[in-house]
Amino acid sequence: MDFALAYFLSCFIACMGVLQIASVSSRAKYLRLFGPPLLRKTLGIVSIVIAVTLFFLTGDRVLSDHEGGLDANQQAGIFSFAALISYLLTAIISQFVWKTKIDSSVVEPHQFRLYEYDSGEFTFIKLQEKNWTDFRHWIIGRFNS
Amino acid sequence: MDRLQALDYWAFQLINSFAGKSDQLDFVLATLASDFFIPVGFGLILLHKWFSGTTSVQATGNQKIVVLSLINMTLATALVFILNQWFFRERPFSAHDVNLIFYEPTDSSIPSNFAAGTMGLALPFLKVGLKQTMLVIVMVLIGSVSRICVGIHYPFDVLSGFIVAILAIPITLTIGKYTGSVQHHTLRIARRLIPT
Repeated sequence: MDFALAYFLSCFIACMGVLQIASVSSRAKYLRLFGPPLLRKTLGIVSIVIAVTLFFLTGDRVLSDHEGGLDANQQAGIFSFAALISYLLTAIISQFVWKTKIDSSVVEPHQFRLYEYDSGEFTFIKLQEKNWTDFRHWIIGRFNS
Repeated sequence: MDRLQALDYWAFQLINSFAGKSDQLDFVLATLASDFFIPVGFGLILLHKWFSGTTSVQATGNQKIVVLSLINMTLATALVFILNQWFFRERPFSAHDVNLIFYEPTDSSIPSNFAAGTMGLALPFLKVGLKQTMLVIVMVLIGSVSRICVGIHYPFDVLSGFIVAILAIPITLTIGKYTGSVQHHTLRIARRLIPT
């Protein structure tokens, strides 16, 4: 397997695990993939161990960037991308499986205009749709003014 | 200066003597010293930190720590880059007969980029609490010492990397102080996209 792909997959699995551990905290419940907190924590740790094991045991990973490895910028970029994809996937799966709503108290100290007309609970996808709509209105407003 | 270099080489030989004794130990050392194990570990800790916190005040504080860590790491590695324009020290494997179980980096040995970067990430955790700080400092020490074990750094390279990371802290705190409103607005946007 290509080095960069193996690195991406390992980071992706590890990030999914970290997000499950983070979902044990009350403020990130919309990221849960499983019910019991202990199960989430255990599976999170297992995912991290599997990711590390898969990466380091499936090939020579002690390579310089001239020999097929990755330089620091590539590493940071791939890790950030893997973290973003794992976050989006976790939030979307959680929404469909658990019908999780994001509690308005999570964003309370940073009230935004879009919440004023809401019931106080919203899904992850609905939130992103509204973000996009508001962003478009903001951009159009900037051009019109 | 000669006595310091002799002490540095003596300490290097002592630590490097652990390499080349068994394949299993070499694999563990090379893995710990790799460009992936400890840096990805830090990435995962920062990701967890971003989402952790039971109150909004805690969550905001944690996210500010993540931002400070990234700024401090960037500054520390930038300082290393600047220092490397003036100082160049050969790697141990270029100057001596060593137990090399790693690839051969071509940049200057001093200061250690790895030590500066990881310590740069770890230092802002001092604001959080002793337990988490100890965890990240232990990670930094394991990664840095293993890079001496595998034969690519002298102990003084690692120590100077730590000093560079410590020197970056006042700059980071100054940037943090004068960019408070920018950070506040950035975190507001981030929390709207990624609710925490």
